[in-house]
Amino acid sequence: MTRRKKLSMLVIAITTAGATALFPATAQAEEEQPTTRELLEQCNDGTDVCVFHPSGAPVDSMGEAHQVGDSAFNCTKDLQRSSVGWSDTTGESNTVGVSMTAEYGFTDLFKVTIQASYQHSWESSHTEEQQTNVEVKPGEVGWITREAAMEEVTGTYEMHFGDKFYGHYIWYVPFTAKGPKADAPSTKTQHTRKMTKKEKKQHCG
Amino acid sequence: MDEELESHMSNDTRRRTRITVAAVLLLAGAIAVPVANGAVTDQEGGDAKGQGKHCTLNAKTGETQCFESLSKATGLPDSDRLLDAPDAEAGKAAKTSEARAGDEPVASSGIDTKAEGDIIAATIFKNTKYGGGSLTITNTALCESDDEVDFQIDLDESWKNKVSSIQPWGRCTLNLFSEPGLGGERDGPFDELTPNIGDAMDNRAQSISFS
Repeated sequence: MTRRKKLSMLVIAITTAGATALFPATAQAEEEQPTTRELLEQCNDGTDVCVFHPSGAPVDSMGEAHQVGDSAFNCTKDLQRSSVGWSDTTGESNTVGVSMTAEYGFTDLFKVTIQASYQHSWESSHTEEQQTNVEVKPGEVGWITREAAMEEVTGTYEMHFGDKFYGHYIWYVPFTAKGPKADAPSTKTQHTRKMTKKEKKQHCG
Repeated sequence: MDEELESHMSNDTRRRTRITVAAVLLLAGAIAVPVANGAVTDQEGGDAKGQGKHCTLNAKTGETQCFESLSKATGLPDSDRLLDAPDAEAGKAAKTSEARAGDEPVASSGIDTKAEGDIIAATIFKNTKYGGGSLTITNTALCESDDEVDFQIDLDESWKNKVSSIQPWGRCTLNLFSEPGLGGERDGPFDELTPNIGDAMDNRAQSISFS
């Protein structure tokens, strides 16, 4: 082999090595992809490293207004103050629909991270009970609605695998969870309206 | 492509020399310890602490880009699909159920993979508890996790004396320094999520080492 040819081959080898290091092949895109849940179930149960990185502070919001307790129908000729008893449970939702109370590595990690980052625990469920008064005029119906205080956390699970998992050593998995905000008051609202003919017939004889 | 390259090289000495230099530079770039300047442009002005500008810094090239959200900065889309999660007992049942809603992908691009060359090394935030603006630093490889400094960055005026919380990624351990070039006082090591870096270096960091 001539010196010139040896040099040529060396250049090609270096070029190939450099290009591989900086611009890895992207053929994985066409390969089968794991589901979010399939990935998350590997967290601390098949990974070398699993870390949940919050993307920012929790975002507070109010849940959808919905009726709690029974409606109060005033069939008398006087203004009535009715006491409506109710119990309402607010649950959680997230990217994979798995309760944070379920025993998975990613659920434990999420709860620990929330506690360490924001100094409050994650609540998967919160139940509130109350007697709420509502003043109902004659011929009207009254009811109570409640909006629960919620918090939403968005972030990314960083997962490292000792052996390639679906073609990669590292996976970044976006994740969002929304649940009742601990120790935050909900909004209760009293509503009234005139009864319909059907309601009058049904409830007032 | 290699055959074509070799063919051209055998007939053109000057081109061979050019390609050799380019290849060596390419390889050298992959090996050298990069030192980047966190030159985050602040075109909107008035980058008040707590305002949510989210930027990325490629530690190898020094290139910065800014976005409206952290998810856009990292290229990892938020999971905007929320599925109701059953309570504890139902959750246990779901664990063994064949039909699991979460088995479906979040979205076509909801699951992303980063390959070598685009590894997140850290995200730093202007407020405690990961609030305010953020700067995500990427590198070409995971940190070695030893005592040697893999790479370092000097923070520019947008970030000098403004870091309050940090998240190491990619096996990196961060040390914060009160002056550029890893000078002045040091605080660290930080090798896990730190929602409040503490009084010693809060709003004082001007350079960061990654090891």
